[in-house]
Amino acid sequence: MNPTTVLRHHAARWALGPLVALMVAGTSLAAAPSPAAEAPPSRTWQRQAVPYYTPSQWVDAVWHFHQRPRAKQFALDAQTLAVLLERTCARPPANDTPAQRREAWSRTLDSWSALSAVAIGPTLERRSVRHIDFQPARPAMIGQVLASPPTRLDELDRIGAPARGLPALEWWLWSPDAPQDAAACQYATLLARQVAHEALALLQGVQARIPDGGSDDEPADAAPAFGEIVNQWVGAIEGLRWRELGKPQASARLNQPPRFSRQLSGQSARVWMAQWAAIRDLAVQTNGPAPQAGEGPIPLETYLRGRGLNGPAQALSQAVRDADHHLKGLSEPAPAKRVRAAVRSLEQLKRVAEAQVAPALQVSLGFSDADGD
Amino acid sequence: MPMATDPLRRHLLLRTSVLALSGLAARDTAWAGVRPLTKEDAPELIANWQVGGQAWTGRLRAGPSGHLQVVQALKLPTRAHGCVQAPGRHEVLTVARRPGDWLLKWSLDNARSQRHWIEDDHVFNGHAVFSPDGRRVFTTETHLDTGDGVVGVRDAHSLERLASWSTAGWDPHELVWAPEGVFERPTLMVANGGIPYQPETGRAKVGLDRMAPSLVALDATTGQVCGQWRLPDPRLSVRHLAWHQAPDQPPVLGVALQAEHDDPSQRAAAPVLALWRRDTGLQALPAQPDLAGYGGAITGTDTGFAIGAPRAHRVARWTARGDALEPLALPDACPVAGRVGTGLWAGGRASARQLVGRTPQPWSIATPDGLLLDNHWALVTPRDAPP
Repeated sequence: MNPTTVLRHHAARWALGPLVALMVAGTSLAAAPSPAAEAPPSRTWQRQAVPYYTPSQWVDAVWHFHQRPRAKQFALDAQTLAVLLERTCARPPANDTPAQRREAWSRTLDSWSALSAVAIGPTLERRSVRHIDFQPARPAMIGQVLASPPTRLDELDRIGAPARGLPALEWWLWSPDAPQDAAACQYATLLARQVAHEALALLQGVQARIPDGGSDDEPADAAPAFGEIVNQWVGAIEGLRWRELGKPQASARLNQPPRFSRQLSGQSARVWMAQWAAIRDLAVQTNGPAPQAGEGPIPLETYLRGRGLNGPAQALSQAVRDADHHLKGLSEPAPAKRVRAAVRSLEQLKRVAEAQVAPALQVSLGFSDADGD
Repeated sequence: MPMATDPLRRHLLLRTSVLALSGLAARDTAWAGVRPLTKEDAPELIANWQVGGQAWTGRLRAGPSGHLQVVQALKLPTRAHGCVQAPGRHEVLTVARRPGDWLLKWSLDNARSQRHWIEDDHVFNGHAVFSPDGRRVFTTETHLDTGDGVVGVRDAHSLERLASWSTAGWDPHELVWAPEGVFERPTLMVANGGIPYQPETGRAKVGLDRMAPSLVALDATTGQVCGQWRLPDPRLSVRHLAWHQAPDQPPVLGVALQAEHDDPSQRAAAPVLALWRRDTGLQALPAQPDLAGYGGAITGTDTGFAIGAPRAHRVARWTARGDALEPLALPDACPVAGRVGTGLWAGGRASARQLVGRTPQPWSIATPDGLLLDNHWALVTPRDAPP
């Protein structure tokens, strides 16, 4: 079965039909976000005029060209994982190995990290990070659940977040202590279904934010959405800098390796790359001319240049290029020196975002002095 | 005496400047040239600040030439929020800004420091308070799984958690120890800010229509709730606390507020001070100057209360009864600290004001350009000084 057929089949079974219809409509399911390859700077702005974009055009472009492909990819990967686990549990292959399931989980983690790196709109409203990615998983709590495992999605709401979601699945797929009996397999399938359900709900939420194109009127007030996205983009830089890279290194015990977020599966570097690509793609134009509104993604650099704000645009471009250089190829286990260099480059990017980009955009950052606390 | 130490202070200042600006400072603290404090010294403040995006905690000294000088600085991995001195000790606890993951205990006498990481399923909310005997420290926290407000009870030496108490709310922020006589038993007053926010994704506030701020009194030996008070307007977040104590008068708790109304004009006109008394409960002051709806810090003063209002660029003052006094103009005013004898100290953008009596004295902060003070600072209690 191709992925779309798989989705339709299981959507019918799990009563997700309308959401899948949303998902398979329109652009190709294969519309994946760009990977975290090193970004060559685009210099077309020096030769071609950059359009002037309104705040609402920028917000629309974020939803349409940045979040929607990521939400689609996450929905597809999550559904694939759920289908695979269900099939394996129902009829285990004779020479079963976890490799295929692990790879399906890793792909789901990739696309989830790409979507949730800049946590905006439905990801915030639904508290999706806590819902399906609470870290760390608590094996003891999972063990208690497995003594009397739930069988329906709605029963999962009564189970604590540390026993659910992608981290709990990671533990089941990689930990040598995880039980592999039928009950555990069924619970894992249920967790994957919950992730898939959340992914479809997020896709629906993203789709709902994309205008239908019938009106040219500037919405009354795009400022709150504009401000939320810029704030969360800065928050994403800080999340990658500190939560993913800096803190694990700073808190490592003497002569012990850092405990990065996906240490068990060894997939931390994939998360870093997916998050970085999401941050970077919102920030800079990597190729081609600046699009007309509604025709392509509008990175912050392009938005600034369209308003003649070349100083902050240039500073942003330079800081992103520098961070790109230091993050490229960062793998786990990562040499401490390389992690420190990546952390420093993200610090510098955050400084540029706070001191130059946000003031130029007239956005008040929730990370600034007077934000309330 | 001060003259003899000027070269050292200049050296420390220069070193701070160079290290901060170049980003070459030692990874954690490694601040070898700390000058011990004696009771003869001029006023000193413990504070948190940023230079060029790098966060620091440390000590500022009021020098003879009208400058506040950095005499001790410890580099931080993320921004700090509150800082508090242990009773009777030259030891300070600096708390990470929410959602925070570290505490830093450091000495005023030497370069010793101790960092403590919070468990993965909790975050610090920016404030801590010591018990009067200095043996326990209490921290406001959020439990990430449930979102519940928590007071962490910790051993003041190891900083390890001894117990967790519910704050009967969420988003707990500042907490203070109630003076003797207010309650029958040792009591903590905790400000439940009540703002739904998502620590797992940073500081985003979502669902402000569900706000539920409250002031809660917890038995400081058992964690039992012994009182809870709310303002009629749930969009007034209860965040910062300070006592005013005067002879022959019952203590009054000043509560600095943060307005979260959707309508900017309503927010700007909102009160920023509420008063709590044992007999009358919690009441917002009805008529207040326009302070842009945000009190970033509060302190008790000789006459009543002072609040740093950074969005209004002033320090607002009231009597203990709630009568407004003349405010002080100060760009980016926020940290405030007061004590009998040294008066009110208020910090702002590269400058400060000291108010003793009626005349404010200006101070410059002799530090590199761009030093940004964070919300809070506190006056250092010298060794052997009466508590």
